[in-house]
Amino acid sequence: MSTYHAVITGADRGLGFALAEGLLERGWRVFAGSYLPDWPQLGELQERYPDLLIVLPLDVSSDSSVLAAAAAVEERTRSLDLLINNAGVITDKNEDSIRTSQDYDEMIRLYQVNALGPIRTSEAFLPLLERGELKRLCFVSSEAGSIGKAERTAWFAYCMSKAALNRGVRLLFDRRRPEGFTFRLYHPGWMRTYMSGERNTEAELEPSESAASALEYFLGSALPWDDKPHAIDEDELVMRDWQGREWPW
Amino acid sequence: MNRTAWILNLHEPFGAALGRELMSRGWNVIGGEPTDPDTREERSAAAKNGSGELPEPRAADDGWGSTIAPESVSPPVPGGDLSDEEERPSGWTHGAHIGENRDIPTGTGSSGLEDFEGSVAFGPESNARPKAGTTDPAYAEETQAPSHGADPNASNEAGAFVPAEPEDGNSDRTGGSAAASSEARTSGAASRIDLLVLNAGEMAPVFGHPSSRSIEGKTDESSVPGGWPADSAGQEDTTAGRLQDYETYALTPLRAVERLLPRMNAEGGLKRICFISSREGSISVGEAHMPIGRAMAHTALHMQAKLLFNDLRREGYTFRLYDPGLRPKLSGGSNPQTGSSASDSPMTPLSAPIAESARFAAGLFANPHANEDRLVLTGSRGEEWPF
Repeated sequence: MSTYHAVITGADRGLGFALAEGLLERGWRVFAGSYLPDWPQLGELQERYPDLLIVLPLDVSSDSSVLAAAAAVEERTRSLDLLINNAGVITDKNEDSIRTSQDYDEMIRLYQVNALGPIRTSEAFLPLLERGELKRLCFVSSEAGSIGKAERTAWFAYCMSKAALNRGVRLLFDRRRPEGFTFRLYHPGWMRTYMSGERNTEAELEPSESAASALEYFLGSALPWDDKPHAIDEDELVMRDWQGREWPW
Repeated sequence: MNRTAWILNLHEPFGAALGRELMSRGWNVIGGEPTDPDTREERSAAAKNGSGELPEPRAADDGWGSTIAPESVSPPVPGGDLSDEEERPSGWTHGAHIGENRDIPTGTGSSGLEDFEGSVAFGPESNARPKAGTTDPAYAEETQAPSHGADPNASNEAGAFVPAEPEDGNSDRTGGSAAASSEARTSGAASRIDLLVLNAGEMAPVFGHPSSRSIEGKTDESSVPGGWPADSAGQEDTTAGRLQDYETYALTPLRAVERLLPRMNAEGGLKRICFISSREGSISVGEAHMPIGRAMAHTALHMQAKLLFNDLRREGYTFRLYDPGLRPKLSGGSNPQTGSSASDSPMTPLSAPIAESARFAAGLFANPHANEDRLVLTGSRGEEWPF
């Protein structure tokens, strides 16, 4: 069996790390984008998979960093099968209502990482993906990007960035699907991650749990929630959560 | 009771057309430009021949480049008689050019929308202009009583564009006393905002048909007149361009809401916030040829509208999210939609799509809706676009 190649952004910890670990266990060669060089988990994982895991410095909010990462991957492989756009940030300004002063710098920071980051990363890796077998672009979005289901009364920076991401993915889908690319858009659920700075122990899911569902969705045509083989309609873009539920735009 | 509308980008073609429509329905209209207050002050200071002396802050200064439109004497003209012309974008959209030639239809009163306006989306309210008290000779022959809306507080008088205070402080242009009275009027007019219209960016008409795209089935607009060519994005698809789109179409409206919301709380105010957006922000039906940053920014705007709706609806605010059926104009370059028009001619009327869309918007914004508890992206034909 030929080795598949994947790039994962934001793989230092949390969901990104769990996705990397899951792919490595499946024998994939993984290029793990690292934004936190001092965080130890990827180093430990590399000791377990020295031949399959390559750690790349990657800041998805930076054009030059993304381009450098793409060049570094291209030095090691001529094709890429899977890109998982996982990197994302949140802000402690979420609860600031419109009645209070808004932090627009934070809004731009979140937009750069959560919305534009996956788009620029996808664009940078498209040439490699084009030569791959799966040609699959995966995006970790959020229910917070669902306008139809939105019930929050603030969270402007985060919700706007995720809604914009969904639109950007849709546009990429419309442009690239005719060329054979396939897409997955995923809401991972509320996870016990460090996204807010400290590990959220109140959340309902371990990252590994969400990653397991995600990888089934990202890699296969078998939907994760009923163990029955279904052909995912590759010509329809939807956002699904870790339980396989479809979320409205 | 007089009603006051504050329109972001009043000088932009759609904003100007909407201002005119609202005025004709008895509204006072104030315009604002999305300029940073510090920048504006610097610009104003520079306009004073480098004296470095900053202008006196206006009583109603909100930190935005507010423009109070001139009081109607003869038929009010949005943007007409405004001072400080040299600081404005040039072209057919500004100044007294709009509607200057009354023999040329501007879409007002000739939109062809009468059959369904006020009946499809808005219940029994009429979208017609007020007839009594109007000074517009174009309506002089109309004799019916005013029927411009179900809002009991809405004025039936012809609307007023209050004279703008000259930003350059040159009292010679309007006279010192005029400037003083302008400030007083500005303060009074802007003390309460009933209708906040967030008209970000600049719209251009889509020649062909504004609703040429079907909701049910996509149309490849590369073959539709007025559609974006596939490679039209150009430099707008750089990171800087995408961030600028986000600033223009998503953050600027939010800044306006944050700053102006306190003025909408007054008792008796309409408390209505209207977003001018585009169905290009619709994830479901937006097309693929739109510059990606522009499309994403509009989607972010839709989310913003929903969050504000969730928060402020419970305080009595009502919302409109409107797709004027026009195209956001590409920045920094020629626009394919306007390039073939005689848009540089001062005698060119507002293009029919802009005028028609603005007329519909005025009815949509001024009238109550049957269901204010649901936020809907409404098109210029009253159709609903999905998110």
